Amino acid sequence: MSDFMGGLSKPPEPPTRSEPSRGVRGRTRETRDGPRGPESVTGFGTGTQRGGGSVAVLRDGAKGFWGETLQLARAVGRTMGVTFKNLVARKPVTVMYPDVRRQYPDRFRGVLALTYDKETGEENCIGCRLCEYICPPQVIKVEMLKAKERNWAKHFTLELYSCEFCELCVQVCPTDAIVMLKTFELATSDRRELLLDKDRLHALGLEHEHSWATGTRLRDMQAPPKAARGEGHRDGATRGEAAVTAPAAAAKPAGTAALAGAGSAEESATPAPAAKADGPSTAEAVKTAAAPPAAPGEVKTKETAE
Amino acid sequence: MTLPPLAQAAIAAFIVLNAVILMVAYVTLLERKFAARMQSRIGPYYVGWPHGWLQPIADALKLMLKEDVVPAAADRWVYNLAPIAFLVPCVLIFATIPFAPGLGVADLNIGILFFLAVSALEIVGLFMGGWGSNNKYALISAMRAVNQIISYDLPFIFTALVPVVLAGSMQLSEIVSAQTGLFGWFVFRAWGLGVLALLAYLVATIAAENRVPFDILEAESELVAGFRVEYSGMKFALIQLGEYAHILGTSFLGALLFLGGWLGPGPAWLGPIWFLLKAIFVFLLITWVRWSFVRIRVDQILAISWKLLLPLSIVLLMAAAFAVAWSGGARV
Amino acid sequence: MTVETVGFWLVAAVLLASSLAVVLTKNLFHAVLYLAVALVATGVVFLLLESPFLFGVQLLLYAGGVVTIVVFAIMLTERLVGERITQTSRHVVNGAIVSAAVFVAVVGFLLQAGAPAPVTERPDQLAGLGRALVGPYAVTLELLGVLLVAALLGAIYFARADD
Repeated sequence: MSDFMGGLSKPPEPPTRSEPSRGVRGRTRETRDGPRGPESVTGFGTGTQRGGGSVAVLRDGAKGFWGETLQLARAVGRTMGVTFKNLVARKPVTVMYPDVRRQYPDRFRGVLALTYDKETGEENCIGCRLCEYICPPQVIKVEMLKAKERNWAKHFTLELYSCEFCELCVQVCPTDAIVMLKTFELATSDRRELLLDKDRLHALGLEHEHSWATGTRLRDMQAPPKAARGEGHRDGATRGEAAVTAPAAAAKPAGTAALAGAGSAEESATPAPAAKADGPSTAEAVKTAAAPPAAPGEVKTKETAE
Repeated sequence: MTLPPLAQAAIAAFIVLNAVILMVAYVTLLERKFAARMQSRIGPYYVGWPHGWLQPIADALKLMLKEDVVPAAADRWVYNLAPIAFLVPCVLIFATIPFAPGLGVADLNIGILFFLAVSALEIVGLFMGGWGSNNKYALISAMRAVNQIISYDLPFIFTALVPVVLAGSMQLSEIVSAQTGLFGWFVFRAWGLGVLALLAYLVATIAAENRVPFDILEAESELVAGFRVEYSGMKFALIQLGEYAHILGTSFLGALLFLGGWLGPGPAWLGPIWFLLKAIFVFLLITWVRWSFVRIRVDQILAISWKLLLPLSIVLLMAAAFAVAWSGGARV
Repeated sequence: MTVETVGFWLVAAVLLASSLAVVLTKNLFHAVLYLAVALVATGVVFLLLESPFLFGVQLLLYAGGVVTIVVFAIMLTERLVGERITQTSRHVVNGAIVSAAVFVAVVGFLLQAGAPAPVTERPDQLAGLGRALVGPYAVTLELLGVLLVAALLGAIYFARADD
């Protein structure tokens, strides 16, 4: 009976491959363990079984009309049981958003912003255009302003309406100048308001909480573990100490100071390459703590040499 | 003061029509709240305190203010008339439903036949919309709808006829009065036949209303919104109103046929309230199914109808007839 | 002039207009819609003749069933893009002559039959109808059933897969 009904219930096959496919189906039926109809009476078995994997509720082995009907009834019962349990036993998990905000995760990828140096009040961007090159939707445009001590960004525009929030610009930034914020509220009545210039990006950075990720931290995270890198120089404890003292020694740890809060001391203390030029003591500290994150190639060569 | 019968009927129809529209509006709110809880959400909350009770009104206002777009290539007359042709049968089915003894527009002696006949007209409006939009999604949806209506009208009619056979009348008030007494409702009667008939009725109802899991004609993932994809504003609202009126109407019919209508403990004036509660119970059953299952394929829908539901409903109808015949007209 | 008379003339006008539109309109889909209107109007005529059961059956079978199947056929055969099938209505004159002849015959029959019997309040035609179907007309009913089964079998025969 199952075969008769099942044969009728199978979805109409494309006419071109009617003969060969029938043969294939017959063979697969034989190879499966246990006798079972090729398709179910109700048509439910067809789609779920074809992959060969067994589904928890509708599994192989239901025999005949009554077997399949029973299986169907049990499946329906279980499904509706789940929703009923939700209905009576579980509390809503809704966060009433505009009134209540949940804690956003540390790696939240929200609106982009530019940072200031906390101590000097200077902007961190050196106009190197790395972010412009890496940006997949090409929404960043930077123009460099050459100067004596360091370079600046003459213009920095970001078309946030086309941004895909991939965080690549943050990853490549050598001076941790561009970061992401823990906010996503972009709603505006005019699309042009999302074309952000330097001032607007700076203002945004002051306005909202920063996400954890900065260029330095991200590169640090992707580099080989520190134990491997630090081997042969010092043991773990002193290395940690040196790392903590590093920013104090550095006159201008250009990258990280603007970031508030998150991250362990060791990670946040890793200075940016801009700090290297400041003096021999800083350079030493950098060397002992970790390889400069801006040069992953250097780390690799050191490792392979050992 | 006595009014001529026509005027009386008109007044009754006016009252019932407005009550139906109001009920439909709040049934949507009920469904949204119910669905939200099933998904561990809260549902409409902000419009109206407490718990968003003004939401249906806000929705209606919003739809009224929307721009009414008519596609350039649409069949204008058909397109514009389709929502009305869809809505009228859906609201008309309430004409024959008695809400209490003697409380209703018309307690026809062919009550249930009228209900089935009028609700069969709904398909005309549906494919007017599907055709008139001149949109391939709408047209495919209309074709699927015709397919599905052909498949599921028969089981729907047969299962709805089981209580008719048991009660020996097509008049809805007679069917209710045949269900008096403790455990007298047709769900509990006829040695389990009633329960099976109710289940089959619910499945056929869900399919006839094109709701999940039988909603291939408005499958969002493939057909956007089915036959109403081109409609906006008030026309969309009319179609939506018609759809929910149909669901509510079949819920009321289910409560009448299987759950004893207005019968219940307490004084007689509680009758309409019992009836309403039972209808809402049936509606929530349908909603529960809707939010529990995924959409099934076309061939599965047809297979369920022709191989499971249609034989089952015919067998149930025949069994009910045999039961009545053997008992010689006594209660079964 | 009672309400029933006014209703009858209204329905008659609608019925006539929609029936003419069925054969005269070019658009095939519109013709089906006019057909639906005509069938519903026929049902309302039954209702005005105090025969609600026929009204229900008319709506259920014709307006609900037949129209659905006709639309199904059109949708399956109609090309969805490009030019549409138009109704050409050949042999209009011959058709008009035949229908005029039928009309004359019917009117003649009605005139000969004399005044109709006054409508009496019948309590419930349904039970009587049911008894008639399983009593005197039982054989006819069964024969109709056999006819339908034969039609179904024929349909299955034609629709079977080519093995």
